[in-house]
Amino acid sequence: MAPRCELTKQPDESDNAAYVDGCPCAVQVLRWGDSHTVLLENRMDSTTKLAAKLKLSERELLIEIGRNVGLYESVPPDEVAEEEGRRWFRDRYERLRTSVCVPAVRDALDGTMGALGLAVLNRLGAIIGADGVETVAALLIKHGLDRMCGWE
Amino acid sequence: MCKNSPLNTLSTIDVEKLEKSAPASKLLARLCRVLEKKMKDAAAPWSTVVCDIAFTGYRDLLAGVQKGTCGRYRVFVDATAVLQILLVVSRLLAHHKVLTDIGPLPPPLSASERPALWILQDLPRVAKEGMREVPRQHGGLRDSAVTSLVERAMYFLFMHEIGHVHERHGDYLDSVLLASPSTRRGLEHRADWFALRKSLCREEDQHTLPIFRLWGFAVGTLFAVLGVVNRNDPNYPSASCRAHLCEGFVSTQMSGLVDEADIKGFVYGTEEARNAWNCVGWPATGPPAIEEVKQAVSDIEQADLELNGGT
Repeated sequence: MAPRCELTKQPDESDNAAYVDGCPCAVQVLRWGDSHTVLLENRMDSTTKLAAKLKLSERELLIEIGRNVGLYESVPPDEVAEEEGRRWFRDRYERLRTSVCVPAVRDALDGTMGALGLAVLNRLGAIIGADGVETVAALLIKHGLDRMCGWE
Repeated sequence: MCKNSPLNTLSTIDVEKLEKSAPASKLLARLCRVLEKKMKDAAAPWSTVVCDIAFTGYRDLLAGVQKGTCGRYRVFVDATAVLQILLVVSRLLAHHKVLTDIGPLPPPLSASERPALWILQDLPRVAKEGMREVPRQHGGLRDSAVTSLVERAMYFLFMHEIGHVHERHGDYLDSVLLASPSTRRGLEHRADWFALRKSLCREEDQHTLPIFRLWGFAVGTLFAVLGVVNRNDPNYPSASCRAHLCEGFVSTQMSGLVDEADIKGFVYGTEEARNAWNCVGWPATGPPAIEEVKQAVSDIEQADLELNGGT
């Protein structure tokens, strides 16, 4: 089982992301419980998943996203899922851009792919509290953060 | 009309052509005609949010809801879904131990009968090959029971899609970045309940135990088919769980609307559908484990919370 970090201080409710000094893992708020304790998910599994997603093509990533966003009674075929995935990406482009185009990600661009992946996952983890965050992170990296954020 | 919606390019079913292609397809064509009219009538109250109702032809997608660029919804049911359900219901009723009070009963199947499982393989193959394989009934009430069950299963499926529109599930999915599988399963359960209310209270039906029993059998069979089509996908609840939660909903939430004794017919019907699957040798889904039910309740609570502006 992946190790968990536990944070006892109350996070700023205006920002779902929280970080802990000395904790090697990035943080995702899973549930704000009565105990005011925030469970922190270790991101090691997530970076492994991200590495696997980065091997997929942009189209395959869009299809994967599209399969998770439509209201269909059966799993949609590739072309329909791809179209849904594109629509999803187009509609949320600004929100994604605002989330990942920050200095922490900009700095990570000069480092290793692992560091960049972790930086993007940290940002997305704060706004996507669901499975699929690695797929979206991979899509953004493949799409080109330079292009998206105007860092070219 | 919505423009640029991906499914706008799909052709609607060519009923005339279908009718001429094979004897078994006459039944399918007749069903499609009936369903098309029922769908349009049933969707009338939602005309301000539904811009298009499509009866599409032979895509490997059973049914769904899509948002058009005009912000309204396109609801579609595919002929493949009708064919799939028709094949399954016909296959079930071709067994002499299924719905034994509706005659004339067919003779026992011979050992050389084609294995039934192939019917539940991929949808394109069903669309391509299935037409020739609708098992024959032996006339009388059993024949009309097939039509009645397919029509009810399709009506429920269509109202389930309308339920997604009515409860603004599409708007919710548009407002979040990605919904969790738990929330998505919760949305499916909620749409099931909506469809159940609309189906069982349909004006053209008498509220009697035999009618509710047919509804139970039709809905139970539909869930079983959806369970096979969507197996291993965490976004969809299992067939057994859907049936179980619908049984619970009918028993607890609809008792004030219709006679309580008649409502038991629905539960009886879903159980008969499960037994029928056992009879023909398909992997039957028994009642869900308690953990699964607890998870489903949590999924619904999660969906409620999110739809009402929660986390």
